[in-house]
Amino acid sequence: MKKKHKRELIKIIIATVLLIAAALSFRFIPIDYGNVWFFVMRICVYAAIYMILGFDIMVGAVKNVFSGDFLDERFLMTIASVAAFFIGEYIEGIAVIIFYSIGELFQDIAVGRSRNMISAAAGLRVDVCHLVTEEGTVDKKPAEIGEGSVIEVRPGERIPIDGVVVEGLSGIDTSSITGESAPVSVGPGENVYGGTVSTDGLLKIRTLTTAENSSQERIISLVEEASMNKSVTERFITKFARVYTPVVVIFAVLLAVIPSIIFHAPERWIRTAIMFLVVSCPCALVVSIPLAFFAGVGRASKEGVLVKGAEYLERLSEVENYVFDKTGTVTSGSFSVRNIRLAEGIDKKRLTEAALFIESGSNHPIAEAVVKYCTEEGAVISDKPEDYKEIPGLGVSVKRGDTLLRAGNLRYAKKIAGDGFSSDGKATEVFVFEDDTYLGMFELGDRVKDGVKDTFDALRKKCGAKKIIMLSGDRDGACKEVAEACGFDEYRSELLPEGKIRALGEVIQHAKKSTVYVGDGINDAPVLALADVGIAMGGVGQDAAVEAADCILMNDDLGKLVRASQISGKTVRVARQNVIFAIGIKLLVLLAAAFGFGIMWVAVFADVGVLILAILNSLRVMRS
Amino acid sequence: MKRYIKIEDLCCANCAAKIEKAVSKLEGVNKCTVNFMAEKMLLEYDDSADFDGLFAKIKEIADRIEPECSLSL
Repeated sequence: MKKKHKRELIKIIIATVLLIAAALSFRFIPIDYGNVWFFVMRICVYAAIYMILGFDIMVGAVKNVFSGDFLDERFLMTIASVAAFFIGEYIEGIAVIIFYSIGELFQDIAVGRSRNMISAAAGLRVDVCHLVTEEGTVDKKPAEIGEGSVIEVRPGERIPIDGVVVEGLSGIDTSSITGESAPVSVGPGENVYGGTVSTDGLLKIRTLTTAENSSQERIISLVEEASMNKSVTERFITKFARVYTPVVVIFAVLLAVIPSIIFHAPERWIRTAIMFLVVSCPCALVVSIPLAFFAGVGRASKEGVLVKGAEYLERLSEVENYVFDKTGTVTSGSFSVRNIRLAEGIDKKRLTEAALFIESGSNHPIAEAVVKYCTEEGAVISDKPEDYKEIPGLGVSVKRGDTLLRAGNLRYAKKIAGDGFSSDGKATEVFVFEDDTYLGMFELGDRVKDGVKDTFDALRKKCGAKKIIMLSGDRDGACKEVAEACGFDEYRSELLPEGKIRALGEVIQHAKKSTVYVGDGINDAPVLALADVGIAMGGVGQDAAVEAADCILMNDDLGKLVRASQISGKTVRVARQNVIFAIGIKLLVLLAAAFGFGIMWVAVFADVGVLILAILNSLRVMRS
Repeated sequence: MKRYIKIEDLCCANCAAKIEKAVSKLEGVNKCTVNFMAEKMLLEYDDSADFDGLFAKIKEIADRIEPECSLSL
């Protein structure tokens, strides 16, 4: 409990004890009701007790009266309690203030707790770290560790601060920071990031920064700061609150005045009006929505999906179209040799050695894939290629002694050896020639990631996706193959960047609900921005993706789309339930009060009760 | 320009909404969003505006609407 809360609690206890004492005293001391001095004394005693809690509230209310927007809860509580005094219900007046203060305190603590529980920080921040000193290790808070200190990280623990390993070997699970799911092994001299987990070894790390400036804080602030984007539901409830309070207050005034004139007995009606004022506070109402979304965003970030705003989380719950980029998104994005074809009379060794010889000088991704394949197949070269030439758009040529070795695409092959070569356009091909003799060709392709088809099935069945579309700049053959393998409903190939924007625009135009675009974040910034929800693959390491996307899949795992959609759906359901609870309970209390059934403390606790319900309900998003 | 301001001890979401509304109306402020749960305010203001002056005004507004809260950069 914070200091502030303790002070408040003490005030509440004092006020309550004094109120009970005063109420009992005045009940048992023989009272001379005719005595004016006694009457004044009684008011003074109650007023003094009232002021213990009421003073701050009144001051706040008065300050705000002059600002125009005076209908805040302090003002309402002040009016309610003063009105109670006015009709001679001193105890009731003080009770309003006491209940209100208890409610506020409770609300404050509960919100603070839930804030800690569900924030992204809870998962990534470390509470204790072991500082290495000459006398052994001492446990400290990460905030107390200076730059350049040496700390110990035990197996299974999260690294608290960015640093460099000075001693020890361990596998590091960096998925929370870089998005890379395979553990990286580190040893002395290597850097490690705060927020990552040391899996199996004991490490000693010299910190390179402070906890505050460490990597994990970047992600925490990304989730927290970027979630400035409010959900539609939240904007609705804020607007609702703006109307709700004045309306209830007007009702309260009318209730206090009109029936009193018609039926007399003003006390009864003023009491009802007071209750209206108490229930007119919109706080629990307004907080119930961001609470749910905060929980949703927190939950998603724990599962490796960073959502940059409540609005996007909300939209994810009703997605009609999922649009995907191909290379790097549904495929792994790296080329590998899938097949070779030998020319007649040529053995494999001759082809692979020639290809290795040609391509070993290049760092083009295609060349690298060929080199990798040939090396794996056992090809070795002893001398270095001479006279390396790149022929743009065609291929490369090198010399081995007097022999000219060439490798290139279909066009290059046709240029060298005339027609007679063909391609089905599915794969990227490399044709290899020794002087004018055709040796054979390599077929290279991108590999579809594991589980993509299952993910698509789940998106259709569980997440209500109607259409799954692929937009790619790649050749038609390659796209067709991937589209069939993954089960895309539609695909568009050979799109230039502008073409992608246009194609996505058409999809969005024909959609009734949201359209999601998933890309690898590298050349996709405009398309990511255009989609209702732009989702980028890859960790926080890629600044471009982080900037452009509304949502980031940390581990490149498309399966997380299903989880994101489920979390989103749950969050939206919880938020709606919270609204219904909040408005429903308030209306019930108002109705009860209007018909004279209301009890004051029930009215006050309606507010807190709603809040507690909202918190408990929101925490469900965290569990499940 | 965009800048985040820490806004702590906000006890009520409605007050957060009110602060947001009032600050948005300040001259030189293009947009203001208060995130009650993250306890942060995102301020978008004109490049020509004097930030220190704005910050003082924001403090004043916050103090009036929610005396218990504290702002820091």
